Amino acid sequence: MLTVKTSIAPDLDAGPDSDEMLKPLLKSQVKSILLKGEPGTGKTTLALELLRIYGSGIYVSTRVSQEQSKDHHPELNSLFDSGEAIEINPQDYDLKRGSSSAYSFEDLRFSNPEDVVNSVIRAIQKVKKPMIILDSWDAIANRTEKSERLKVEQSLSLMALGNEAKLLFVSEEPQLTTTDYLVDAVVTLQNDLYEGRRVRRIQWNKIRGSAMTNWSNLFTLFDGRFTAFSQQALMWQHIAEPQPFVPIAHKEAFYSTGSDDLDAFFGGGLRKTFFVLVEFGQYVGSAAFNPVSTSIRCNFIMNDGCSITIPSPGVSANRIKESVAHHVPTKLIDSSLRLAYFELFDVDPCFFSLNASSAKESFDKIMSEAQKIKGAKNRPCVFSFGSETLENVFSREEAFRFAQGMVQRVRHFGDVLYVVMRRGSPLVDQLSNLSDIHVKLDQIDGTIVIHRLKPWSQLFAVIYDNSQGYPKIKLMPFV
Amino acid sequence: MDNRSDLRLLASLDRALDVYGESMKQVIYSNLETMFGVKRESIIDNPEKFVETLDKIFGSGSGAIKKTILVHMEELTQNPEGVSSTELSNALRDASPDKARNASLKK
Repeated sequence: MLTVKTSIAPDLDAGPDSDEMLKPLLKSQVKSILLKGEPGTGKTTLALELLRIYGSGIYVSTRVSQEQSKDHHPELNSLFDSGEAIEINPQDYDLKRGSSSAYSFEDLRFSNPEDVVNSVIRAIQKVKKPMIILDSWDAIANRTEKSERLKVEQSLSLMALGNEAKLLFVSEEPQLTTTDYLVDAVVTLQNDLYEGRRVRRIQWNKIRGSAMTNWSNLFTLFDGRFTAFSQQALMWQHIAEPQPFVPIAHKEAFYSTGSDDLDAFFGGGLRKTFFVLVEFGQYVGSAAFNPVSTSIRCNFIMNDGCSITIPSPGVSANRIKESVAHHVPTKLIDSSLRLAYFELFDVDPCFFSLNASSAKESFDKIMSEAQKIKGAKNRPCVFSFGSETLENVFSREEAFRFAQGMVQRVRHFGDVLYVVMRRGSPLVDQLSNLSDIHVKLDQIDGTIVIHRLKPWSQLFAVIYDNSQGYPKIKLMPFV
Repeated sequence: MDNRSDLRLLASLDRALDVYGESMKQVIYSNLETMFGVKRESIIDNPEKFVETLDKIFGSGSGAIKKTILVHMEELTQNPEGVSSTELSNALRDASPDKARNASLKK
């Protein structure tokens, strides 16, 4: 048995949002928890994360040896090394304090329920209000008859209740068992597939004393830690106290998006001359992508570049300008940001109109504005447009030729282009073939996710962090 | 121990603890012996130690087990909250007819 006496070092913190989501499991009304899931779904990692947040407890392993535990979960070492360890002498209950890194491990792989109960008894007597993790419970319980199993579980629950301890049963049994009915909380971990990429889901089956607003959340085991993702607002985000944008410098062959994680996702940044196609899933739209667009525009402008955009339908020019204006000086915006519309409502130095009757004229107007704004220095420029805007105004062929012309221009002058496209667009195949990178933005269980279709990439959760006063995009892979 | 009444008493104690499972019953008896050196057969002579073992294992939840034991000993309790340690110790001591006779002889 591995014993943790005190709270854990702060550098093991997985993040405030994730911890907040798990806290209903640690409320006083929840005396016992059943953690279910098939092998490899992350049960032990979640159990350890709960132990870390709870602050003190005992981990009883009934499946693996001490060495195997260390190998499978390296964080187990630091979890227990950072706390005060207790060496338990089962013979005479005489506790001897070991060194700061010494601990006792009871291998209960070939044990029976009595051995497990005795371990729990010893633990309860020596650690105040512990969390007791039985990993896994069914490895032991399945060796007894059903009626006996229920009695033991009830006895364990009574012991935990009477000693203000919290029991956590880890189980790989997918079906309902006596434990499901007995405990105060049941969560299930699942692996799933999204477009051939791994997705992990935590399902909140039952939590006594808590209103469950979500049925499930996505999570990752990145870096050996359990990190759950809260549901993100897919509406247009408002930053309460905007701050100046802190740019990331471009590299020789790449333009930075303003986010290190996004740059890494694109293979170092937006490569000069590249065309990136961004396809939206069914339940996301421009609002979900706006922080990324804002970050890219701000970073270009703050690096002495410029930005020209034909917004998607339903996105006003004023809103786009406002998103950038919160973080970039007005003088720079007027000289470096341009927004094109087929129907112009406001007079603004940043706005210009296009001709809905002529794709060629509209294209030439864009080129003319680009030449003016890039100037003699040929400043780097990020072009972007919503394909649906062109599809609504021009024929399919005209819209595609428009896009082709933009791509050729970008390749010639060393700029970069990204096009956002709705799900089911008739141009998706043609534009995908034309693109250098094709990404998809979607939402699963309220979490915004992104992956590359071309070239292939795994799935990432997108986290918009506005804590610094401007949009900071973080990506976390699903592992 | 050869007292038939005590044997019946221990049998009813076994039945009471069976409510919590064979494993739990063995755990209680083994912990009684480990903690206090009292074997199952000597519970009647050391009821306080037995009760203390229940308290150590179940904490404030021991009241439920004590109540179960008394019910199986065909003693009724009026306390809806459970049974105190003193009540159970006394009941276990008094439940043995020989103990009661010895006590009256001493008077």
